[in-house]
Amino acid sequence: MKFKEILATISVIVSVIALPLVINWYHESYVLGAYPEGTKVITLSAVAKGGAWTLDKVDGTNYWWKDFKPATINLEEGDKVVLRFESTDVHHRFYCPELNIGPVEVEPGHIVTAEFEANEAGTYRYYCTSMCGDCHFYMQGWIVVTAKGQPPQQPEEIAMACEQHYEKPPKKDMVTWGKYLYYKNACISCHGDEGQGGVENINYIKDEIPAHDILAEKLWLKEKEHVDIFVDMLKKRVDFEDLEEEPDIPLFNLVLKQYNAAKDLIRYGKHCAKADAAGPEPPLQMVSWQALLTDYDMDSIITYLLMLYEWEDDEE
Amino acid sequence: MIRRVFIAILVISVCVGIPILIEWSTTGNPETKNIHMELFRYGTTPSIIRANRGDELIFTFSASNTGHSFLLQDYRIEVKVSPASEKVEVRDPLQSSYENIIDTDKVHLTAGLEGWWGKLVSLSRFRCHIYCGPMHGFEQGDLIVRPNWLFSGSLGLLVAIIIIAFLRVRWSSENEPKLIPPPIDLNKKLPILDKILKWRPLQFVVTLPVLAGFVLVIIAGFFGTKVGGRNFGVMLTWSVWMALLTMILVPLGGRIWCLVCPLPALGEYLQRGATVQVRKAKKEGKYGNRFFGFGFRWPRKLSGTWLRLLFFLGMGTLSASMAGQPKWTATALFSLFIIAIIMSLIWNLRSFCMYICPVAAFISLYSPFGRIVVRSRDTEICGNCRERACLRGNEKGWACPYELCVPNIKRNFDCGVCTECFKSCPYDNVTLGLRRGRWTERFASYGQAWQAIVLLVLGMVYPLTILSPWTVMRDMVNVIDKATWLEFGKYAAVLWTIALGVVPLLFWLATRFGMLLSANKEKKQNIRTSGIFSAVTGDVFKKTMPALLPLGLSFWATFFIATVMINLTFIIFSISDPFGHGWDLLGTAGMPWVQVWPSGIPWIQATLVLTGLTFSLKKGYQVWFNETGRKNDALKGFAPTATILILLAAGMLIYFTNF
Repeated sequence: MKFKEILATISVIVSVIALPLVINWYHESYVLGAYPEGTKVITLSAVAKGGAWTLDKVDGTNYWWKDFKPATINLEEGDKVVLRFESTDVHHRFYCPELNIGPVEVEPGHIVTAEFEANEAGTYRYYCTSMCGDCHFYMQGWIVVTAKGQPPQQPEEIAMACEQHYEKPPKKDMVTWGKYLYYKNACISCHGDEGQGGVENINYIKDEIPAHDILAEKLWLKEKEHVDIFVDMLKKRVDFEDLEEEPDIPLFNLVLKQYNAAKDLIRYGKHCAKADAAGPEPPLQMVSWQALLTDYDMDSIITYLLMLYEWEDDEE
Repeated sequence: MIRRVFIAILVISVCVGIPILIEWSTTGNPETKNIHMELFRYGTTPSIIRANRGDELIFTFSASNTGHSFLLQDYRIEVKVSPASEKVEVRDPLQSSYENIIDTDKVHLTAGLEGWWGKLVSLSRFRCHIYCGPMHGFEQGDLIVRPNWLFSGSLGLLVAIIIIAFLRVRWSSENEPKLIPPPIDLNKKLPILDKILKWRPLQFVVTLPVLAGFVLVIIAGFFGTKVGGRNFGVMLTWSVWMALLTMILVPLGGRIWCLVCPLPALGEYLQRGATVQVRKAKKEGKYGNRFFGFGFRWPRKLSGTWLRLLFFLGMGTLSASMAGQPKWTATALFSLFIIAIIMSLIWNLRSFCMYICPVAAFISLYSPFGRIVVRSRDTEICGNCRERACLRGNEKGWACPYELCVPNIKRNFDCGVCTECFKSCPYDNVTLGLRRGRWTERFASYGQAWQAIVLLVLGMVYPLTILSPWTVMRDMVNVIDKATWLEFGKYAAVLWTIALGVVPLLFWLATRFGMLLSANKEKKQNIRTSGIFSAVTGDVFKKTMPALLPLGLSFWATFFIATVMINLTFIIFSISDPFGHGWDLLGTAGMPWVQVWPSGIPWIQATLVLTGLTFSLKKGYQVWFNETGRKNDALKGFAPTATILILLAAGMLIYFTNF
């Protein structure tokens, strides 16, 4: 009887305490250890909230309170690397065009891997290219490959982080409403907080994302007063298809054509053409906003961008 | 006899035939319909698409917030919709490869499936197959194609069942006392079973693997993937365990789960200071065994079934959030585990199981269906017994953890089949019986009557919220994800008022109305003067409420059969990769998700509801026949309660087949 009792007690302790240890051991040595020797195994977890590919372990104990920051992955030249991707929430897509990794579809609940060799020192930007939520456009970071024996390079800071605390202004004022949408929907992550553009887009035919603070010029509105007239028409929700009399804006037909083109660009998005046809797909793409923005919203954003134009004082 | 069968068949043919003819003749001609589907967290607009067989449906799609998909497995179509693009990707969900994806902006579909079975399918459920948040698994809607044979036919069958029930009562003879045969003595029949039941380590040996599984569930819940469908903890708890309980363990084995339950196990080992052996008390006291801990008696005021019923209702209210988020499933189970340990050190025996355990509220209530019963073999031996070793324990077996004395066990509700009494009885007078004939359990307290009502209500609420095509219903229960505490508060308040107040009141009034209908003039006066909430009414009310059990359990089964059929492949790969950490133990982690026969689900659900109703009506009539002694009086007396049950069943039938 004594022997049975001891055996039984031990088996209880084993199942309550040792089982978790066995699980951990199995994971470390059989799952992570299954890759060929000498490879660096890195697990990247995608978090939509805040927008990050993180090296932290994300699970039920920390997801709801911790802020996860985009990871900088430091490697040495010649490293053989296995990236294990895990999504903690929705569908993501990992893409690092310059290192030729991906796009890797990352479904939650299922690990996918990508292997590569870090051959050349440098800093390489990676992205999420599947619209995963409000912070999607901030979901970028760096893979830094350093020559052997060198200290790791500091990559250029990715200026903005996903803030979602913008105060909602009244919808009535199109300029503030447009600005709010422009910030909240993360347009600023590519087009700049003042519409200055300039963010690099790898293998994009224009190299950089074009500026939008010159939208007035692009719409052929050459005078401040013309912008005011046009904005006033937008505010009055004038039906441009059915105008009673043409406004006092020169080349108004051209203005209208450009305006419609700009709005279609927001509505349907735009595929960014490759500079080098054999090269990688540019990672940053103008997405289609028709499902997320109303007609009024799009006009508000256009109004806001028109107001960004800096007019030169011509008082002479 | 042949005449009766013939009449029954005639009734069924007419009752089912007429609605089917009406349905057939009122269905319009095929036409072309344009449908724009807006997909969001968590649902679609429109959520129910109605069409006629042969309609040409032209779908366009848009998604807000994140990527979603429109998966209509019956039609072998999955449409991936991204908020960032006006184009959608279309593929065949039954093909595992991601080849043959078509990029398009419009999707054409002809309403109605091919083949003989396809012609019978009206309700096809569409779901989202791109994980979009904790309630993703419940993002669903319906394509309903007329003529809807199941809808019209099952309502017709419901009417037929009522008519046949009446006829059967007419055909039955008035005074024919039905003898219920005693249970088969399994210990005598199967000597090996007798040995096993008396084997000391039995409970320990069967509990241990379940305990290990429980530890895995907790680890998976806290540290595994957040995706419910890929998390072993969520899948095992909600799709395997609860489904097993509802559809197999309780209906066949009664409280057999309590034998292997891991929740109180650790606490019990500590309380006994033993796992497999027995400790004899040093000096004779209340118990023949020695226990550790304070061993207080559970406060009288808190005893009964009320407390665990409230716990069950509480957990039931939150269950959608728990099932959607592994960490909440783990938190709930782990808390119960800890509470059980603490309680076993403060109070005596299995106080946790008797008064707190919410699962016991479910298992105990529906345990009369169980065919396996623990009873005494010869009542005379028990009558002469002085030691009462089953209740007090001795050197061979522990005192009954449920404070029962075997001769007093007449019902399945209280006994947790721990098998200690088989060991302790010095006269070998305890048997494991196999019940024959119908069950005869009665409710001893109002607590149990309320339990039957609350579980009936929850059995309807689950399909109506979690399996609902309506987004509003799902949003109400989805509190943890959306933090809509105000909405949830309203929902909880309404649910609790209905379950604990409104529905019990309805059944109470129905009972009283039935009493008045069935009584003669003299008795009527007595009933009237006794007041609405008198003990006289209460007594009959308690006797009638067991009639709710079959229908209640069938509602629960409708929910879990759907859950299992939808999630079966998820269960298989969550076993292969329990934590979503990239394991592949069985080589099945990468298999695609396929629902098992989704077009059959409404058919099974309708069958379950009708079966449950049939047995409920039978039970209720038996109770009233015993009460009044006359066929007509029994019919009159049960009629009001039966009406409520029929209306509830009809409502759920309409919901399952046409929404």
